[in-house]
Amino acid sequence: MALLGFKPEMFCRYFISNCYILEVSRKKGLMMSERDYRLVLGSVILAGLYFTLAELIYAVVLVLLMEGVFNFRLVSLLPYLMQQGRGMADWSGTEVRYEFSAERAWRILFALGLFLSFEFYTTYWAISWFLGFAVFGAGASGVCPMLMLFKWAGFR
Amino acid sequence: MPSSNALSSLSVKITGIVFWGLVIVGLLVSFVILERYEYELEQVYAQSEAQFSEEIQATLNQEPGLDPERLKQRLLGLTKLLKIPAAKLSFEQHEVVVGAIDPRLVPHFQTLHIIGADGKLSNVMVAVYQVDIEPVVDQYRKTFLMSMGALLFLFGYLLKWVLERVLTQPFLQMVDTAQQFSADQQVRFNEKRSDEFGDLARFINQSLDHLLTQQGELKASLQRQHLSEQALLEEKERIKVTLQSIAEGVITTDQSMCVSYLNPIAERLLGIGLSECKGRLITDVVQLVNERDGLPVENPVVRCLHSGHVEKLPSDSVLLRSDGVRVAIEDSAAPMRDDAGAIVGAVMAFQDVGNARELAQKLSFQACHDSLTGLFNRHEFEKRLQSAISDVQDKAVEHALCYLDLDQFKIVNDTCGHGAGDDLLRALSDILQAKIRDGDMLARLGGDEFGVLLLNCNLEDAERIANTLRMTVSEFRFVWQDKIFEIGVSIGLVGVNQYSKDLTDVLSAADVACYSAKDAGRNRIHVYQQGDLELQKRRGEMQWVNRLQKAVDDNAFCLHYQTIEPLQTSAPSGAHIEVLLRMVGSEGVFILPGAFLPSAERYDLIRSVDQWVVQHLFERFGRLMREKYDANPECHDTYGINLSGKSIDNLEFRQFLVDSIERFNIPASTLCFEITETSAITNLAGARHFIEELKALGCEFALDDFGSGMSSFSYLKNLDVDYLKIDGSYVRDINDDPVDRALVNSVNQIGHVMGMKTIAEYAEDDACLSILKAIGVDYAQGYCLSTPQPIDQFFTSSVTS
Repeated sequence: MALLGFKPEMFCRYFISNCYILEVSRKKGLMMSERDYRLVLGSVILAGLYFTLAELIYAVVLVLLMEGVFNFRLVSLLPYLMQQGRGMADWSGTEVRYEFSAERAWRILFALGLFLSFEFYTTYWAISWFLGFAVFGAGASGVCPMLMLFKWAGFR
Repeated sequence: MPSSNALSSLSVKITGIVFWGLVIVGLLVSFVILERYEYELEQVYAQSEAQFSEEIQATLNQEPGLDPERLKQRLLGLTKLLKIPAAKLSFEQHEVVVGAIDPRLVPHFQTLHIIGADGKLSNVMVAVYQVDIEPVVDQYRKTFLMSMGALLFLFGYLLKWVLERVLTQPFLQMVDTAQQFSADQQVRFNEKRSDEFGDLARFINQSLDHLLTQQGELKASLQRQHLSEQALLEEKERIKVTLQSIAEGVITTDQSMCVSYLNPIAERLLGIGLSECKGRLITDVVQLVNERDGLPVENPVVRCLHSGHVEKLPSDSVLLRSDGVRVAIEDSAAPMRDDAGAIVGAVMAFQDVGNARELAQKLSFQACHDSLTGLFNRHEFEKRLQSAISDVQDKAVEHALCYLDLDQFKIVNDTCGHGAGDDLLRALSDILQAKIRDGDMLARLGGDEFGVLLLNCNLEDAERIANTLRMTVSEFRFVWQDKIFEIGVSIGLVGVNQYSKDLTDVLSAADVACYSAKDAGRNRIHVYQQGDLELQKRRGEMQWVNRLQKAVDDNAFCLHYQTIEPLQTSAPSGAHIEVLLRMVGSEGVFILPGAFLPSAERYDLIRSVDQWVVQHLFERFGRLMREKYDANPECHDTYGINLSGKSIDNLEFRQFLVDSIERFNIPASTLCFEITETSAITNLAGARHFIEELKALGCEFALDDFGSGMSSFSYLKNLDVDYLKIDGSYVRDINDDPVDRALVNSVNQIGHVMGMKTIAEYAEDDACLSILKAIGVDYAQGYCLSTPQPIDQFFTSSVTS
């Protein structure tokens, strides 16, 4: 670690700077990006699973479905949404074959997956947790493999 | 700083591979661990239940009919040992319960077959109450997953941070440096790192330095090339503009003589455009022919490509255009060479010289032709004559020269004007040209002088031809307005043979012969013979030329005077003298003007002589003349000064005379200029103008030697003279010859009628004077009255008196 120039305080600053709340504070306002949105979404899902808050999970599913179906974004109510701050990694250079937003497709598929796995939680509890961790990880890392997969498939 | 593109590429890949790989693997491992935990927990539950049942069965089998209390104690110890919250045992009529049976506990029932004390087999129902496994597993799962999740995320972040620091960040810094390099070439990669990135940075920096050095050299080279190209373009443009601006046509060809360029002048001269002839052979485009015979002329481009030198077109070539128009051109062609000196084409420059050639032909014609008649001029005639003289020295041939001088031409010219004279000359030229043979040469040599060179013609044939010419002229009648003139011609004929010395000799002989013909009565032919006395006389005159010129230069003249005495009492009392000229000979002998004046007249020295007389008289005696005049203006002296016809016809002399009168303050009314009748008639217009101009100043005029020519009395009407000096040849014999007396009488009467005073010359005795007085002549001049004396004496005696 010493060879790599590891300094604990630097790592901490790096980690903290990636935290949503501090990030929001840093930006002096509610500037939520898709990445931040995923971080929040993942946190909410994990909280719902941990505390067994079925209503919260269903609410998340409902919001995501609405966003996916009606192309409505909850986060777009906030200023500078989807255009400022940290964006999600893109799969650039892919030809657009479907005039359907990859974000919408991701939301619909994610909502369905979360709903089904939660409905059959006893059997597919692992999927619910996986989805929670995955969306949180996407928000934390800025890389959403599923979104990239949609983009690679030709979604806008 | 990493760019967004880099974020979406390298960082994404690292994050995707490391972070997500770690998360996914961690979650899978977690799931497996959780499954294992749940399985093990279930196994623990099952084992404790089985062990509890076995212990109960063993106890009951070993101690049949065991007291329930003791059994309960045994069960209590067993539940504690196996961590069973509660258990219930039911057999026969007994029921033993251990622990508090909570409704949240899950009962697990089992039936045991026990052999009682009585040896009978009985059933014992065992109920083991266990904590529900699902909530336990669920809670454990949540705790484990959250812990693992936090741990994995933390580890994933750490790993991502480390990788970004050691790999992504330096790489992205290099990318960023590379991007900055495009804007600022002084930017260099960070060489401070000691890892592979540092090595790579050093290598790249060295490569960049090398590249920049090469780039600088390349730029300099490109700059030079650009400048060179610019210079070439400018030069090309300059040449193009020059070629389009110059007045010469320019055609360039390649090595195979195919046309590659025409400038606008060339297009105009050829009558075709560049697009029509580009690539065609120049011999097809530019067709050259000889101006005279129309035969083709070899194109100079062909010759210059063959010879490698500049080639010119023959000067008499013309360009034959496709529309048949011929354009006179001057042309030259030069080869074009490359750096190695090899011929790569040719350039042909040509210009329209039609006007220049026409002008040259015109000038050439004018140089050898007379502009009035179109005949050859004197220069060309002498050239041909010289050639003929040279010809006879080598070959046994004989030629002849006719020198023609028109008679009475002056009369036509003076009475009808120069226009009439010119028409006469033109008409006679045509007539004479028609009468000579083909090959003979007719030329106009002077005013009314013509020359005919008869080639290959002996003297007899020449005389016959000359006679034909004379008769033709004699028969010709020149009509001008209401007047008809009869013209004659005097012809001097001389043979051109081996005895002919040179051009001057032949021309002189012809001239002499012509004068002889005139002297012999005009309108006749005089054939020159070797040893002709007339020729010797003329040559004698020529010897006078040098003496005269020398005398003018050396002031070898002196002035005498002879008085003119009045015969009538009514004449004014002032002295009247005639100023006479004498040449001072080598030994101081005075030479009379009759000896040298003919030569002076003939060889155009008379004007200088007249000028000397006026200059000398005015310079020496001008002041005295003025004083004498001022002393008695009413009765002033009169000074007769002889002037030649050539002088009065000369504007410069006229101006000189006027200027001299003013400069020396000579009283003009004392001057009486004497002009011979012949010279006045010969230059009638000039004489009239001269008289008018000088009379305006107050001068008087006398017509000298009147009667010698006897041309016509009508001329007197055109000459405003004051005195008529009757020719001495009539006066001299007036005593004996009644005809002369009648003539003098007639002239005197006519003079008086016309308001002139008469003077009789050559009055040599008293009888003559008496007759003259009787006739009524106003003045007389002669030896009986006074002899010529040096003029100094006249002014000396005047001053004395």
